[in-house]
Amino acid sequence: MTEAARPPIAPVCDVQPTRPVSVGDLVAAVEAMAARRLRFVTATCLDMGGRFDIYYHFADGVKLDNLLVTIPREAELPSITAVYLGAFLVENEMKELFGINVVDIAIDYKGRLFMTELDQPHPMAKVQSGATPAGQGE
Amino acid sequence: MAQRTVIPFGPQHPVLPEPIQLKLTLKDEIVEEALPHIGYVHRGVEKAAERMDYTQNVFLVERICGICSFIHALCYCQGLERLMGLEVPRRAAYLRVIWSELHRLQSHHLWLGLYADAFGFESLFMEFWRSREMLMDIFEKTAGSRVIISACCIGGVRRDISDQHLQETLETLKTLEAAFDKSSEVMLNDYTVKKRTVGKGVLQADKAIMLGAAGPVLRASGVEQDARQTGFAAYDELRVEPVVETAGDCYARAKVRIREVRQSLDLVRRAIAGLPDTDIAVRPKGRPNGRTISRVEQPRGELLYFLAANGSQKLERLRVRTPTFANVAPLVHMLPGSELADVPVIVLSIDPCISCTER
Amino acid sequence: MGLIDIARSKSPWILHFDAGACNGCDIEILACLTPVYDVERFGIINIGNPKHADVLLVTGTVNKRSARVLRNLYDQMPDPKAVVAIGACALSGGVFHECYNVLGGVDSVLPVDVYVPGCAPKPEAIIEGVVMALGKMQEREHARKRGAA
Repeated sequence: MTEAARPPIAPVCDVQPTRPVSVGDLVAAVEAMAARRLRFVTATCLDMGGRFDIYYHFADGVKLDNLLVTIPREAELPSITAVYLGAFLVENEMKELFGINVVDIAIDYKGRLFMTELDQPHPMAKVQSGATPAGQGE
Repeated sequence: MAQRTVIPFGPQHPVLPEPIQLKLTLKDEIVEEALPHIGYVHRGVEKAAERMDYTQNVFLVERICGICSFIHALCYCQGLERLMGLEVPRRAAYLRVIWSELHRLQSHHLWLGLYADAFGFESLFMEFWRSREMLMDIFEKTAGSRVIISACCIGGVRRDISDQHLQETLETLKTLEAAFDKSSEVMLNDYTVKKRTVGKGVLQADKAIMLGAAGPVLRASGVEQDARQTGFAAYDELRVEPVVETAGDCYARAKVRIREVRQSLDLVRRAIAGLPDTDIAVRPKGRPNGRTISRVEQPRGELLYFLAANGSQKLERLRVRTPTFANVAPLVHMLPGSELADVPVIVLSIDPCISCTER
Repeated sequence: MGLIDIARSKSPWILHFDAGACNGCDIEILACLTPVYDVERFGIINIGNPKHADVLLVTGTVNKRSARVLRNLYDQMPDPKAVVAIGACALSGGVFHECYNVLGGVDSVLPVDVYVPGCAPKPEAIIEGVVMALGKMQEREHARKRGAA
């Protein structure tokens, strides 16, 4: 089948259940998850150009429960490590690879988790901020 | 007088086949704080997955981890199949279970050997690895390669296993089980092994949940969670009961894995006995579109892929959360309070796979 | 051939470093040591200390952070020494050659004597690679002695 002949298929979205929360309510929502004794699985960051979509995944037994935070490019994101310490790696990863300004991480690698100061900062970001000189990335 | 010393454990260390550094702050012989430093094997697979065609990515994700490569491919293909609305033929689902469980067997043998080596029991290491070669031979026979078998493809599996090979597999597993009976007996009951593992690196159930532990580390602390309960591939018919221990120490983690070896042996046998006679793959139609999460159980724990696609040839985002990534925080919690000599055993007890962690 | 040369070629000690591999090649190297392949019967020992090692086996792609460690290990090994690059990633970067944190193969950092291709190479191929490296090491040593005489 040629590429053009392939029929378009309807988008599937089965990241369910997902509850959108605002940045301000994030830590409170995560605390509510902790009160239910859910296990923190990970966070997923999607670079949507002007904004970031960040999913937080929690395991409720064998099922997943998700939170979705949407922040503009330059905004600050509060750390959830005060509630779930296990999030420190993923938050450092988002900070380094996407350039999200995550504040108050319990164990902060200052954007040097995977790479050295000689490498290009934020390789996963779709919009490269050329203004940030190497070594001074957040 | 108590003296504080900082000891770098790694990146090159005899017990670690892979580079990771732990900065250990010691008060005399007791660890006070452990800080992991990673990045020695970071490649950037998630970015590469956005640049490559979604069909090519199968080969890329298999190479995230060379120990459980099939399960990575399975997780990725499963996610794409959901986005493309594909129904995998039952025989393919069963073959996926067979290869996954063989990978789990192989990985647990590998770990049991390395773990024995970590507390200096070299002959036990050799015993487990001798048995492991039988499994490598099965892979070579059924898929053509020892390590990265590339048997999984979008829509099913790439090749079938003939009846003769299935019979030979069952024969090999019989020999393997007899060898495993002897060596696991030593691992569980030997006085010196128990001296090194019982009560070391304890992780309470509550802490395991709050720190987000995964896989055998989580189950050894008494939490009954196994991604195979979600019923992916053919696990909906071949039910799996999670293997649970409650002590939460290194001994319990070894015991969980030893019991999982028996469980996997049983699963392979049941899957071979119930193997349906259908096609082994369907042709993919259309292009993936939407967002989904795919979860499978790796030997080291729960593996999660987040896939986002927009109907084009390339994926928008592929997020890979591997089990060791989740087990680093519990490790950092387990180490303080232990003696320096026990650090290698405790580090090995989470079954670290650094190439998975850093991708 | 002097006593030391004989000893070196009959019992080479190897040092293994993973510079960014997927684990497949690393485990195959370890498999060489175990009963089925058992290279220890030839006097080959996998040693953790670079100062005791004759042959450096490197697997995986190289990034900036691991290049520094790799260089350190190489510099700490006494002469004569040989480097064997194992697996497609160590040869050229393999499937990862386009990733952002990959400098390329091992030869972008160190001089490599023997390349062992494969993903992952079989233990037999790895053993042959080490044997070839010993031959090269010896040739080099002879040439050096002839030059000095």
